Amino acid sequence: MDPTPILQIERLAVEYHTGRTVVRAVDQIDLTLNRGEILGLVGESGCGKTTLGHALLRMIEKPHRIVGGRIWFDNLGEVLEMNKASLSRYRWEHIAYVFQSAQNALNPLLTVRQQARLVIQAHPGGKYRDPDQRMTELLRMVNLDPRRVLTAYPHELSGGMKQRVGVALALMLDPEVIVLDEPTTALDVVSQATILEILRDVHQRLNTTMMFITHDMAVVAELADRVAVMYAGRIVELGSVDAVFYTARHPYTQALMAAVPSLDGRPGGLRAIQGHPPDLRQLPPGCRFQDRCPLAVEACRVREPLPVPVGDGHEAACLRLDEPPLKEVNQ
Amino acid sequence: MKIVKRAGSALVMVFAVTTATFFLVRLMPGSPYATELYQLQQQGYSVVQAENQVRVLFGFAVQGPLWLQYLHYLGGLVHGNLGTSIMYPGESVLGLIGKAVPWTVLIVCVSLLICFAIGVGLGTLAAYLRGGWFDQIVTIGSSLLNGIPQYLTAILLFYFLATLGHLFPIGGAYSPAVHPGFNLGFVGSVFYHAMLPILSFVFSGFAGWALLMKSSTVSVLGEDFIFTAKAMAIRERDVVISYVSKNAMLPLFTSLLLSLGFMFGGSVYVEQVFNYPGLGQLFLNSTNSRDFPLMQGCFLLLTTAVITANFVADVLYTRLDPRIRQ
Ligand SMILES: Nc1ncnc2c1ncn2[C@@H]1O[C@H](COP(=O)(O)OP(=O)(O)O)[C@@H](O)[C@H]1O
Ligand SMILES: [Mg+2]
Repeated sequence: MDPTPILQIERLAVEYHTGRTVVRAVDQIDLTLNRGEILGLVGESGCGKTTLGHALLRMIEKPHRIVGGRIWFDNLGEVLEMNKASLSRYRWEHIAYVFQSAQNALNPLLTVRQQARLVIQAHPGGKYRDPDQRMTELLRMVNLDPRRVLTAYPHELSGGMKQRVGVALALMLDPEVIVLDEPTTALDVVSQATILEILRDVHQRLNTTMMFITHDMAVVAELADRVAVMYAGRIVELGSVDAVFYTARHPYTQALMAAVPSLDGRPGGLRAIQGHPPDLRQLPPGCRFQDRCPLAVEACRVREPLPVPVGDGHEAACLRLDEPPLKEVNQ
Repeated sequence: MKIVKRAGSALVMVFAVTTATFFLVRLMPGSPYATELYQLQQQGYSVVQAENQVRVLFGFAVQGPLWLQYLHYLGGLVHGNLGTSIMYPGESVLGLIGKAVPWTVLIVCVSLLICFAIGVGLGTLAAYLRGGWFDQIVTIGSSLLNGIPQYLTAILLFYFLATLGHLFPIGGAYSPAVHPGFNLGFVGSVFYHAMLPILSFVFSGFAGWALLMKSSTVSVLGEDFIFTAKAMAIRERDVVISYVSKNAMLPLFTSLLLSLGFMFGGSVYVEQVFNYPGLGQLFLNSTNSRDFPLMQGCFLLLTTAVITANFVADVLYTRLDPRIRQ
């Protein structure tokens, strides 16, 4: 089956303005989401994953700005040119978000039912008119007891339950795309497994396109079809899970792989990579990974690498792609 | 269950304060009983006559051990008898307080509501427009106003608007020319007389609410669930009401009731300046003339009011905040 794009991002750039400092947290990003796929977006903390996720919903608030690029959504057109009314419909009817901080993502003074009602009220043109019925159906789908959860306040739910309510709320209007921002990070191991299982189940039933943000490679291996690896605001490697996991071409991806203890379910991490990501306020000329890269040469300090195809649907942004993989270098 | 427990502890508190005032007042030098006894004897009464007179005046046994006096006092309280005033011979303490309370309640409650409304409005706007000129004016202005004590505002208003400007009356709760009752003249006169006392409260009171509301709103605006609401494209009106204000005002409700106590305290100065016949003035007069029964009655009422407000705040908070409600 040929992939059909549902969301296309071109040369997207987002800046945070704090006082006099400017941080370009997302820079020159090209990325396509295909209908029905699960795309894993991985990278160290602070590399701009959340910013990219927010930008997809145009949730970058003043004084911060999307400074360039375009976001194109199937059937709707340019997201960055939408007027207020279209944007209000775009958000949640077409693209929804599951927030990282399940703890604080829900209004503490509203019950799950009240929350669901406000969502339906805000989208009179949406598919569903009866919030209670819809929410009941979705709570069952995420394995929660509607009788108990519908009338519950957030504080009456455990972290894992809150996150499942978050997933149910995201599905409320049956959006084409859901961005899941580290939905398992704040949870204990058992709840993590539950959420992943539920997401897999939801995906099977509804075929919703998902962008799954995480810094956990093992989760990506388990869930995603394709992976985008982000580093310091850029995407440095993109490809199918198999391609990226078994034939990683970017030295950063290779280092990530080396840092994963095992690919079959145990929690992995990115801690094993030496050094720190560069300061986004003052980036060095050339490649952003140069300071931590074992392959860096003089050219890397001068020229910025652009993504180039390295296989079928597989691309990497590195000047030293002709070099043998890092694994062998290390041995 | 919890409410019963809280109510119980509130009652215990009222009882404790009543007891403490009773004994403290009697430990103060220059007991009015002794003074009165002495004065009556000076006027030629015999000891027994003087004691009888004092007994009538004070409504309970004066002689005898303190604990007996205390029991008499409690016995009186149970029957709603707070004794008889010394300063206004023949008038019951309860009657005097009953006449004064409505005026104080009027100015305190009206001022509090006005302060709260203005403060919440300004604070919310300042929070939404934070960093802008409006916010700066409100924040700096409020900080300055908040530092001005009530009696100063009262004195300034009194001096300029009542004494110099002759725009407002210089005392009383209503003009002697009107008939008390539900008629336009009376109601108008009452508000005319209450205007400056209320203004003094409002001037020094709304600023604190504005600052409180601003900081509360700003912190709520930074919460993740506000961001979620926007991502869900929840209608702006619903975001403001159900998300922002609902969360931001929650801590203010408790303060609202607690500040009632402070307002009654401040009322002592304000009523004195405007010669306004409320509880504050009654209390001050009773203290100055060492009218113990009256003093004690005022004390009792004030503490009961504060403790009740506390209790109501407690109960209300558990009703309003689902995180505390069980
Ligand atoms: N609200 C903000 N204001 C200023 N800088 C921000 C803000 N949010 C994120 N950043 C900066 O943008 C960069 C990317 O952050 P983020 O997108 O949250 O990364 P990630 O989700 O990958 O951890 C970080 O360097 C962070 O400091
Ligand atoms: Mg993040």
